[in-house]
Parts: sequence; structure tokens; C-alpha cells
Amino acid sequence: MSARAPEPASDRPLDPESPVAEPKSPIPGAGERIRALLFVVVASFCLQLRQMRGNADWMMPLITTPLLTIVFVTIFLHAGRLELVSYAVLAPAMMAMWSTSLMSAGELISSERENGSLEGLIAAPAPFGLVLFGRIAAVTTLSLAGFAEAWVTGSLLIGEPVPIAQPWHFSAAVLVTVLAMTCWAGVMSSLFVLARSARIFQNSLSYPFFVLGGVLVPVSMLPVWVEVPSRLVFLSWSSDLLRDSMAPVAVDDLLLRLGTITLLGLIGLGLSLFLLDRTLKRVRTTGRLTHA
Amino acid sequence: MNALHANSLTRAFATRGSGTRVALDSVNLTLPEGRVHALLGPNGAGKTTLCRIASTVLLPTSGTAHILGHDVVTEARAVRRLIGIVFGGDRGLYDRLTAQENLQFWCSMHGLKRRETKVRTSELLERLGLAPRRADRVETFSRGMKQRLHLARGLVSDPELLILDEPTVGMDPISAREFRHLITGLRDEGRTVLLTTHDLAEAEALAETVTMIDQGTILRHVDSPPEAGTLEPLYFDLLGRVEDGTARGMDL
Repeated sequence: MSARAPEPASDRPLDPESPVAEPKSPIPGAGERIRALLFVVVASFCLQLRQMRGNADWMMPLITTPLLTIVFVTIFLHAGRLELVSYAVLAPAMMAMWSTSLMSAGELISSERENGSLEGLIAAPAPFGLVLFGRIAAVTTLSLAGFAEAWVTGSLLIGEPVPIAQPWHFSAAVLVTVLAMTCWAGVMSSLFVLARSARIFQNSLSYPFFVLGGVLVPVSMLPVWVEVPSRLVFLSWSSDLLRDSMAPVAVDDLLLRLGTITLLGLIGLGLSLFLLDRTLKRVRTTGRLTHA
Repeated sequence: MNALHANSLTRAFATRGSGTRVALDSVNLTLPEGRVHALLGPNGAGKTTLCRIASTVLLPTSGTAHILGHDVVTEARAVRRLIGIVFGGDRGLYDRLTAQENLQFWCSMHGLKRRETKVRTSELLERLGLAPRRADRVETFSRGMKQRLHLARGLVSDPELLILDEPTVGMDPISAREFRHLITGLRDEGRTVLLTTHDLAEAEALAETVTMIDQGTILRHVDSPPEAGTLEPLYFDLLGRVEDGTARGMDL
């Protein structure tokens, strides 16, 4: 390895917070450029999985999922409402996804700052937004284990597999839900850095969103003043669609509902990028990129 | 081309209640390429602030700084492609990852391809004496080993300018000596290094130019390799004059 002569100045856009990467070596085409950006996402995804391995702190919502499933399923069985078992199985799974994203993904910037690695990430050429997206995606993807846990637990309790009548619809709903969750976790990640009382703010976002997200009780059964704001929360659309996919009746407006979840996710992505830009500018201005 | 050029560079921090604290006060400094430059000063002198501005993670309050011709504010992305940074202390690595996994991740952050990553990672681990521990988690490493891994991380992109911010702080004497030996190797390659330190012996052993700084002001710039024992009287004389309030505005 040796010191090299300086390269000529790049003629690419030089916005310091541009979300587009500018790798060190010249990139011949858009394809390779996209490949380089994807590599950043994949590397960040893998980093997060490695960080989480063997660390129970990250897994806490997944540890409680079977317990919550037992409680919900038992209540419905005791009431003789076997047809509602799908509700009892979905609720803990959705709660696990939301909680994991809220607690783990939402704290990613803060934990990088505490670890002293945020400076290195900001000073690297890779766009920090992509790094964050890859890492949050790893957390939300892992939280899907909650679905499997809840399904297995529910199946054991009722003595037969909990039916998923339309598995393809169900899979599509899970996929767009994970994407939307990833986008909104990015919003939380920036908010927790910007908020003065991050911990209180974080704790206040759990149970209200379990209600607004209709994870156990469909929002259509809630009072109108709760239902209206609920429709702005992607989780409520996801919960309804997942429940309908498990039921043995045709799913109405599948594409429209998938599109709505995707649209709400994209709104979260836009907000996430805006807040991330604000966050990075603020910490670079105030000098609070590291904890003293 | 200059590795670093600062013009009236000023950085002030808001303090609780009582206004602002000036960490860098209209600093003018030019450091050429291809040499090891030491920034020497006591704690709180402004060394780390200068490094953070140079590495684009902190914005100046006023004035400008250029790294290899690129403005650190308006051309931050271009600057990031040219520098490697090693901040002092044992934080900043991913403790649950192995040494190799850490380096692989940082290679990807610098746009290295898979094949380049493999070669560069092996090369650096070998060079910094970490190859036998490549598969061990960083949390099991000593402080000296972590700092060597920090240096490897700073070198993954084969940077034009390597910024080392108090890299030997907190190390035991043997680890610090080994680390300095590694920096000597970089100097012999002709690499440009900006090294901050409050250790006079370290500056004398490694640097080809020495800039003394205190209270955010450049006190003296020595543009030749210092001979052993020559820095100490000059340094303490200057710091003494800072204490007396007579150092500011002296002819540099």
C-alpha cells in the first residue's frame, strides 16, 4: 500500500448531505453505481445482524411474544371464540414488530453516538441514510420471527395449525408492512436524537400505537374519533389486511390496500430523510456528534 | 497541493448559561502533502476541534478549511473520499464483531468491492499484527490492539490524508511505542499524516513539522523535523506566555 497522487476534483454534485454516494474509484455506469449503493445496504444489514447475535437486549419483544400469544389465545378459547384465534395470533406478532422497531431500530443513531462510531460513519463516503436503512431493515426483518413464534404458539394451543387461508395475500401484506415499518423506524431514529426527553417520548409510543394500529381490536370497532387518526397509521391497514388474509373469504381491494400501506410507508421514508438531514446538520453544527 | 489549508478558521461552542467558548480562534494554517504533521498542545487546546472540522464531522463557525483543495463544508463528500480518521480512545469499533468483520464493514463504507475488501482486510490485519486474532471479537481486545484496529480502519481506503487524533492516549508505554513504530512506517511511505498529541516525545519522534496550539490559537509552527529535546523548552516557554497573556499576536 502506498500514498497516491491526489485525484482530480470530482465534477459530481457536492452537496455534503446528498443521499447519493460518490465512491472513491470512478464508476463507469449507473448499474455499477447502484450495485455499490446496494452493497452499502447489504453490508449495513449484515453488520446489524452481527451486532444483534447473542444479545438478548435486542430480542426482548421476541421473548415476550409467545407469552402474549398464550394470554390472548387462551382468552378467546375460554370465551368459545375459536374464529378469533387469528386475531390473538396476529396481535403479539404485530406488537413484536412495532416494539422491536421502536426500541431497537429507533435507537440506532443514539447507540452509534454512544459507541463513538457515529463520527466514523458520517466521515465515510457511504451515504449515512443508506447505512441506517440497511440496519433498520435488518431489525424489522428479524422481528418477523414474532409471526412464526405467535403462529406456532397459537397452533399448539388449539391443537392444529392456525389457518392462513390466503398465504400469498398474507405474504404480500407482510412484505409491504416490513417496508413501511422500516421507513417509519427511520423517522423514530431521528426523532429520538432531536427530542429532548427521548426515553419518555419512546415509551409513550408503544401502547397508543397498538390501539391506533388496531393490532388486536380492528379500528373499525373503535370510536370514530379514534378510527379517523388510525387510518393515517400504516399499522391499522396492515392489521386489517393480515387478518382478512387469514380468513377464508375473499380479500376486498387487495391492491388498493397494499398501495395504501406502501404510500404511508413512502411518506414515512420522505419524513425520515428530511429528519435525518436535519439531525445530521444539527449535530455537525452543535458539535454533539459524540457524547462527551 | 496542501494537505490542509485553514483560513481564519474559527469554531465556537455554546456553553450552558454563559454564552460561548471559542475552541479555534481565527486559525491560519497550511500543511503540505507527503509529510507527518504534529499538532501539539495541552488538553482543550483545540486540536480535536481542528481534526473534526478537517474530517467534515463538525462545521466551522466562520472561516474556511480545505483538504487537498476541497472545502470541508461545500465539498464534504469529496473530502470524505480522501481522508482516513483515527480518533483516540478505545471507542468507535463494533465490539461484538470480530476484527475482520469490523474492517470488512468499513471497507464497504468506503466503496471497496468484495475482492478489494478481502485483499485489503488481510493485508492490514497482517501489517498491524492482528492477523492471529482476526476472528476474535473486538470486545476481547486490549486497548493497544483496539487502537491498532482503529489505525487499520483509518487505512482501509488507502487515504491521501490520515488524521490521527491523539492515537496513543491511554495506551501503556509498550503499546504506545509499538503504535508509534507503525506511524513511522507510514511516514517512511511518504503518506500525509496529521497527528494530534500532547506528548512532546511523540511529536519529536514522529513529526516532520510541528504546530503548537493552545486556547484555539496557533502559537508556533516549526517547519522542520524537531531534534530530540528541542521542543520541550520552546513548548513550555510558549505555554507560559499563554498563561501570562503575552503569547497572542506573537510573530510566528
